[in-house]
Amino acid sequence: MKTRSKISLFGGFVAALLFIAGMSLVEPSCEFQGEMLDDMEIAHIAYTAGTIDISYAHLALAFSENPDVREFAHTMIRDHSAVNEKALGLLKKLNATPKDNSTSQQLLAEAEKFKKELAELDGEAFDKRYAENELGYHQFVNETLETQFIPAVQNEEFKGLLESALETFKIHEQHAERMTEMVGSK
Amino acid sequence: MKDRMLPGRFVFLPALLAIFAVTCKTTPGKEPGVVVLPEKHLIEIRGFEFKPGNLNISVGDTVVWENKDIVPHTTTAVDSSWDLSNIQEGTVNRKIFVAEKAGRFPYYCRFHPAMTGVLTVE
Repeated sequence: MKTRSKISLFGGFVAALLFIAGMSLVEPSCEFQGEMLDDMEIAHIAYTAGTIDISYAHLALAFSENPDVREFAHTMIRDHSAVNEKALGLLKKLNATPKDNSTSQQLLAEAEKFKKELAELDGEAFDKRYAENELGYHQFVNETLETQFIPAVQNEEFKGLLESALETFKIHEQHAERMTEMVGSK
Repeated sequence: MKDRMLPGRFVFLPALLAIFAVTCKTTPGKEPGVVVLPEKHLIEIRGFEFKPGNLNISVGDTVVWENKDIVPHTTTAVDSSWDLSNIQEGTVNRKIFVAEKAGRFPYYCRFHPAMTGVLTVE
């Protein structure tokens, strides 16, 4: 009898912990572009932003013959895939599911528009536009992560992952800056 | 019985010393006859930096790169003498290099070319 009550007490404790952990993931904590976002919506936006950059990189590999551009594109596919894989691993561990939201949808719609624009270009014009966009895109993502998402995120492990991701994306921003100068000078 | 064991020991000891002398190395600039065992050095890759960035080692030493970042890296000699590719995060993915010749070897990460380091092999 005693053992049974201990087990149920422990079960209740675990359930309470999971509930609190779950609450912190779904509690809206960040206002972004007029929308209140919780951790799982931020996770969805971050994952979507990574997927979009991977799709730009695939386009660059299909269209560009510039070795600097191609090398950058390979790095974007490799790094954003690694970060997204890490995010999926953490979500699985937290037993959480990212939530689609209007910011993610807006990002995807803008990306589709930009990919159509890119596909109309070739040669140096393509390289220049791709490089400029990569610089602008990383600047926007990094500023959003640093000033809005990371301070607002409630779950500490998720916050840590976003901080590591930001470190990676800042390197990409510097790399994109060099690539922009290289394709601009040719 | 004990006395019979002695000659064996006397043969064994010089043989052991000879093997030791062959497998060890003398370090240039140090006292003649002083032998130094090969060392193992660890370079951490953390925050998109090689730590330490500059490392002095001796011929025969081993260098291990361990990636603490969440994305893969490489360690690639500028003169192309080595290229340890795709070092993933974590201790099981460590890459090992054995210094075979003296010289100064600048290296970088092919995936993130701003990451650089120098191995000086004496």
